[in-house]
Amino acid sequence: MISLSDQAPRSLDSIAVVGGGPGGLLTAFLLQRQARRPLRITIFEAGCRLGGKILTPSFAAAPVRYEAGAAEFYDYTPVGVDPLRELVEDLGLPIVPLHGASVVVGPHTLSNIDDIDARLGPAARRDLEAFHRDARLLMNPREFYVSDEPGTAPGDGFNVLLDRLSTPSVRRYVETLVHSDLATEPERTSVSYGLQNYLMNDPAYLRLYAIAGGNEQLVTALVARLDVEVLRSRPVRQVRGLPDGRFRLTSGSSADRRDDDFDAVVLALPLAHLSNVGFSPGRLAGAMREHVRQHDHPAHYLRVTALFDRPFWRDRLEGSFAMLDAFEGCCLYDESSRDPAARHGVLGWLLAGAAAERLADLDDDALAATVLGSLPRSLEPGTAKLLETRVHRWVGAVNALPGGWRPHTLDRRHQPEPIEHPNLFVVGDYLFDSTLNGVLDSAAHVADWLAMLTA
Amino acid sequence: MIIDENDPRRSEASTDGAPGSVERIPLCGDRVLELAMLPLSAADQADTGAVGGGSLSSRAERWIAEGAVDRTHTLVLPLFGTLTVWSPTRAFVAGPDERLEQLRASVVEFTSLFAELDDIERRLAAALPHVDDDAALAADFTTAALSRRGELSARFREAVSLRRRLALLTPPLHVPAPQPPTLAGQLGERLRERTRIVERAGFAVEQAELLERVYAVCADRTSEHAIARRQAALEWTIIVLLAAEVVLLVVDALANRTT
Repeated sequence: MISLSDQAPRSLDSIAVVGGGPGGLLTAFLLQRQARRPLRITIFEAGCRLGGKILTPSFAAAPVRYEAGAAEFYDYTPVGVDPLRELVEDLGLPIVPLHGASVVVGPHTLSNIDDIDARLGPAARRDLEAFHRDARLLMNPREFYVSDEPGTAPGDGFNVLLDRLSTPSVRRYVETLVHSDLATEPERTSVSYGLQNYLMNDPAYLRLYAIAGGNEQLVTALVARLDVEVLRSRPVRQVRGLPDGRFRLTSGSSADRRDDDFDAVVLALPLAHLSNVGFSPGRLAGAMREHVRQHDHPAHYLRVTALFDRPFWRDRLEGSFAMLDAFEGCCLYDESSRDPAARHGVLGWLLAGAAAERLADLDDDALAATVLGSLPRSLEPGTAKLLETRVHRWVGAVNALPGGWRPHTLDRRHQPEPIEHPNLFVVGDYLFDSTLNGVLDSAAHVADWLAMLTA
Repeated sequence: MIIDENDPRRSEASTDGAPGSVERIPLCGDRVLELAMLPLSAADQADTGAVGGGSLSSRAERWIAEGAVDRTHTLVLPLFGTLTVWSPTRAFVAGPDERLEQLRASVVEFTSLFAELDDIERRLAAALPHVDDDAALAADFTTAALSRRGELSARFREAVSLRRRLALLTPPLHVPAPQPPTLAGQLGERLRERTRIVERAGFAVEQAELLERVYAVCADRTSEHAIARRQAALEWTIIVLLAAEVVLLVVDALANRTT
């Protein structure tokens, strides 16, 4: 956190937060809470809504909610303190635990080790038990707890660990289990990140929850507590470092372009969007290019959500979600299970990785037909009562953590150019593990830092 | 809590109206679980929809309602091709033949834990109304309350006993289910979640702690009061002896003076 700038330290009074997604909102919220004096904080949001990847819209055919972005929150309380869970509780938001154990592999629905024994055979059972034992030995709950902070990853991909599975059907089971969380392919994932996403299915490591009434309640609660200026529909086009250490932000469209000066800037944008912002002078532009290059391992999601007249699958699929081996492994959410009073049924497919990138080019109707065709045959008759489908594309919206990737130190990740522009920070889930817990860690790091500088 | 497979009370029960063969399993105290089990055919397993929503569930619920002490506890749990209908005194399990024994073990283990907690809760409910009155003695113990020493001592022993039973009960409630998951483990977890037994045990621990604190202080005050009374008696004895000695000395001195 040591600034190497030779400029005299100046008081930080005005701070621009670029991006009104979870990273920007959390940074503003935490900074406002931790600063010892009032600060002028301005949030620039390119679109008209705040919340970014936390999005809970409703269908047109019926007033039924569904999650179009972040589907669930990770609860690390089995292994340690969970700042996000604490924040959700502090904001007074009730939660709904999520459960899912079924993995559909070919004609089999495998919900437990007994199913694997019965359907795939005792050898498959022993293979999976040995793999699970090895996984637990390689990453204990404590190591899992700190694994959202990516360390120096060995060169191997997760596929090397999967090679230990000698039974092809068990390998398919594990790949299907983790694929939608990885959002990329095993060979493009480090062993550590792959293990993290495998072991999160063990309740001794992690539990899942959603916010009752929709995950976007978190955004609403944060915004209600913010005392900052929010500029919607004002994309930031240019960030220019000034000789006095301040920054000039050019924002808006060509018709209503304007310049604003700030003492510090926090860029809380998805990595792909950082490339749409111009930076100057050259040293800052170079540092930002290097920052983007360092983290440029895009991973992809595609969400297709279907509204039915009733939850016709309940007798055959248990829990809040199940994994399907279609699309190299996708998660099928029973969205309506989150609302005990729901009369309609809502199924949400979370496609991930290469399949999501490939299918994103299809139009919405073709996509809906494709995902409906992935349902187990026993459920097909129920799809006749389809009322509406919605598609949300999140191509390149998250990041992979490939084997061999060496991240910078925590400070360096959040401060791309510490020499001449020490007051420009970045916040993002991609700086951690592309989760909401990761973006909170990132926001808390920068908010702490800024609060210290403004003290 | 531990089920004794050789318990003489264990028996096959009448199967009238039961949706399967019925076994009577002794639990803590004089409690008994009547457990009906039904192996499912391959056709039933293939069509799990019939298990959860069909007539089997209704039959099981009817049978349980006939024998259940408290109908509010009846849970219907269709789970991965099996059906469990559970109440604290009667339960029904249907599933593939080769998995029935695991499911039975899971239901019996859970029911025994539930019965133990239920018994503890009843004892706590009986003990808690006395706390307000007895807490006054923890602050100020009077001689008039000496007659209640036995009663307070019994309540203290009851509080310690409840704490001991809860200390034995809570670890099994917090043991994580085996991983990779087993069907029996999943059923146990569902039963624990749906009955909120872990939360209930937490409340019971708090109540037992309150009882223990109040009656531990009462026990201290009682023994302090008894010791103080013994000390006072001793002091008076010494005073009387000293007074007698003085009188004797005076008498002796007067006698010597006369002679």
